[in-house]
Amino acid sequence: MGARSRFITLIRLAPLLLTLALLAGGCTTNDPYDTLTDFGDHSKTVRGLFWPVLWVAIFVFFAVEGLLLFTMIRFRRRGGERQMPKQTHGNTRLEVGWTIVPSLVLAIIAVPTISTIVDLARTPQNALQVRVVARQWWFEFIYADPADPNRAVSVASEAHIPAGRPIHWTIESEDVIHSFWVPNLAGKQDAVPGKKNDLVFTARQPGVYHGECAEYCLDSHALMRFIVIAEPEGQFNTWLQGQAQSATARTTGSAGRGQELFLGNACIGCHAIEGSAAQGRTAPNLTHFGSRVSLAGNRLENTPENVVRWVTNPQQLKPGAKMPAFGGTLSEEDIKAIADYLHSLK
Amino acid sequence: MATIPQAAVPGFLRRPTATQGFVGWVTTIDHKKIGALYGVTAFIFFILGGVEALLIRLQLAQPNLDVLTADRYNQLFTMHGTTMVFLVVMPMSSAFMNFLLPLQIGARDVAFPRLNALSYWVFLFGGLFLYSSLFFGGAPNQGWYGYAPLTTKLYTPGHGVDFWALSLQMLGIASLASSFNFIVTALNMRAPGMTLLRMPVFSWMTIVVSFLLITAVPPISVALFEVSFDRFFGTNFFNVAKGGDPILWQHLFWLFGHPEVYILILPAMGIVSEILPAMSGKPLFGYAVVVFSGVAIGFMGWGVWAHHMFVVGLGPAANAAFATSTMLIAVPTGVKIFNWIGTMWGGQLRFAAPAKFAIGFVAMFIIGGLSGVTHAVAPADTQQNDTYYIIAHFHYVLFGGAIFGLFGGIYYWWPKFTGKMLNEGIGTLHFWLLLIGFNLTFGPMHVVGLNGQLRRTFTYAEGTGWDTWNLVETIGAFVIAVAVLAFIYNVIITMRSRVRAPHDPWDARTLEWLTASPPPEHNFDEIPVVHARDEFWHRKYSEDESGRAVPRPDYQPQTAAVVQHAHGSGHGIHMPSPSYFPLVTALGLPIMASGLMMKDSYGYAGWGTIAVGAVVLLTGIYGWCLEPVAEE
Repeated sequence: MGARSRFITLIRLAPLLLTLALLAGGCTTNDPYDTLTDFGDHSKTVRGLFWPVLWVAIFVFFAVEGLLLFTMIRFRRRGGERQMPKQTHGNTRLEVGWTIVPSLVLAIIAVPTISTIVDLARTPQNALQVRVVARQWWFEFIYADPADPNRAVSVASEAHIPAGRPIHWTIESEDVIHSFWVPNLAGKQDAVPGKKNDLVFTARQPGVYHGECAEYCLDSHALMRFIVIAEPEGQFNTWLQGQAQSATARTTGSAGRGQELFLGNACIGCHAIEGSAAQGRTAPNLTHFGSRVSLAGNRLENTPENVVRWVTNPQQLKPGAKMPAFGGTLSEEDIKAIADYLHSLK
Repeated sequence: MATIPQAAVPGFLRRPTATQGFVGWVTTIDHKKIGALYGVTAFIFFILGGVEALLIRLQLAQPNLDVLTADRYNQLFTMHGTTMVFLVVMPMSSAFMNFLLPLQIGARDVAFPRLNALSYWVFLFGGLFLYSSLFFGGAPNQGWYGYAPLTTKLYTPGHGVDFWALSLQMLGIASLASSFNFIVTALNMRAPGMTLLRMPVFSWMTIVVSFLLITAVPPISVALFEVSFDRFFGTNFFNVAKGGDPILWQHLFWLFGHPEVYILILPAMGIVSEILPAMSGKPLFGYAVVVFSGVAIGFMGWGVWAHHMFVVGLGPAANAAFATSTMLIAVPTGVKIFNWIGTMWGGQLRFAAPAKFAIGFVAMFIIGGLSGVTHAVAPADTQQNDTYYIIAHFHYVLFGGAIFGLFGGIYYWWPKFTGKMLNEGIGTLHFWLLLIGFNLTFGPMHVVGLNGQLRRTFTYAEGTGWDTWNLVETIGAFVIAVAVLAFIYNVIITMRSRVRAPHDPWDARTLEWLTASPPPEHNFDEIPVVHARDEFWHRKYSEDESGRAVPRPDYQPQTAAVVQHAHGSGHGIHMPSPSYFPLVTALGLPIMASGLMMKDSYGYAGWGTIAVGAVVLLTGIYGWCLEPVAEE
């Protein structure tokens, strides 16, 4: 009897604990990647759809596991039974019943599911267009220059958006499949080479939201992070106008030497600094690098020391990073000068 | 072939006669021995896949750990997934099918015994070929699902993907061969009186899974050929710059991949449908419904593949259609749960180890099924896709489901396989450790998944809120490891024990329990004539007017238990002879595959190796055709 009651208690406890854990996890937190928030209209809609379905699932869970448990206890062999059990082969009415009832429940779930799929695919008129180009292992965000709509303004790893206005993201990839995901704000959308995907969402209030590449893309997939900075519309417009300007760097002292080194080395083959000879397009655009808050896909704070670490050996911070390590070819002093130059690019 | 006189047969074509020892095992075509080979091999791969999982969990125990490099981690999760799907659950199910199908339908062997041996050897070489990548520049690192264009040479220049693609191609051949074999066996070799609707449910699931395989393997074979041609011959199926389409791979892969989920789970469902009636002393509740829902799952499994692709950008119409079809497939699955509970209802349930695992299967599968419904809701899946929530879901289905079911099957049929009983106490310990470890490992993944932790990431930042749960998961994984050690210990002490199992220890219902434990090579001295579903039970019991089972006075277990005869003696039974040629034929494949990989670096040596492999393969096939039907 002892062993049996332990068996029963544990069977009952395991799913209960699991459900509690689920509930705990389902509550909105301030965690940077939490999916069940209402910071974005998209994430709010998804949450509004997910919770009722989860509650149905939890109800069914308790009902069916409860039935299972009851059956186990009630119909266990007690020893000393005089008769063998009745050989029931089935019960048509019951079986039709437990086919129809789940079908009905699922049909009810299917209705809001389909209407939400259709709703989320709509693009509002006043949406701001932002192109997302994913590459191993960073995201490029491309805006239209407010002064000249045909000119593109490119930034890396840090997207600014106006809070409260819908953003229409057009998502592309230059190499393998990636996925654009800001869990606090919206569900993910894959970036597929040769294809343009759309995603529309609004950040409901200003804030810094964390994003990640959600589709495995080899070595540094886990470090392919970015941030979305939602700010009041006016502040956003000022930022975008600033980003559209050419670089205004100090060209004296260490920074001046850094500029010479930057323009005289392999850097310009991949990086662009508008208004200079650097016009590479395969690596992050550094025109306003000094105004960025983070480095290496939001891995490090953007300080001159961290820039030195990155330039010296990028692979140590991001395995497989395409940028060559300059630790062997440039002196520590030279790398420091380059870091000073980049930091002067506000 | 039978007409070729023995004298005309050259020596190397004489059929081997050893039934024991090394030669006995490598030449065997006895379905029971092949089943044992499948089982042991799959279990060894289970240990390897488990060690890979433990390393993964060590790396993720805390944020920013450096237990593994990014590349090693990526290789490990690729190997873990590939191993557990293709080298553990599929062949372990195949072990049961091999052993049980002929016994359950009252046959002496499968329809094509040598083809059956070929399936095993191709599977073994496919698995070893995959693992040999560890010694030739590293394991594949593109994920078990190998999304293009990750698999093109531009992004994965090493040989890892080559090993992976060629190995899966071999495993596909093994699956196809055994599927045709099982279908022909089940349709043609049933004992007299065993109509299709008298067949045990496990045999039914064998048929369903075999049909699923012969329709699901071709799409992935085509897709793998495309990957291989891109890599070896410079075609552009997945080269976007030349107009290739990476989404093509996803459609073909999931067109295989979703039926594959049912290929993995249906055998375990069949096993549970055998254990629960025996342990309850009642027939399966709603046999026809369980069988037809299995068939329905098989058919509907074809219409749900794009639910793996809700965030690819197929558009709202496709997403809505596949969300609906995915919800529909939950219905026949749910029906089975109720039928199992109905089977226990009104019974006299014995909580022996097989029953524990079978009920554990039902309890855990309910969770996996319900979380499955929550991501059939396509908009919700845009948040869940590729997070640990998905990992939790499919481990509740494939570990809480398939692995629990398979362990239940091992405890249930062990006496039939080996003639010995596994220790009940250690079995109980094994079960509880496994259940607790499993829930500790995969339960919290629901939470961290909804909280945004992504799969296939070798590290995560501090301050994400995931640290505690990840540590719990790692501890849980090691509890699972201890549970598996308990099982291994159980097997060792059981094999050393001299106590023999009775031929029918569970008071079971189906034909395999009619014969001795372990069964003689020819299975049944006399092919049983079948009069009812659960034939064996009806030989033991009749029913009184209230429908209760009453022992038949004329049933005598000591005479019913078939005395094990020597090879066919006294009954004129002649079993097919062992053969070397399935092994030889299978050996040609990995040789050819190695040559294909060598051709770019070594030129003629590579082409030469391909030629050698082809000669071995053809020798095997010709020898197979020309060897006499039996030894002298």
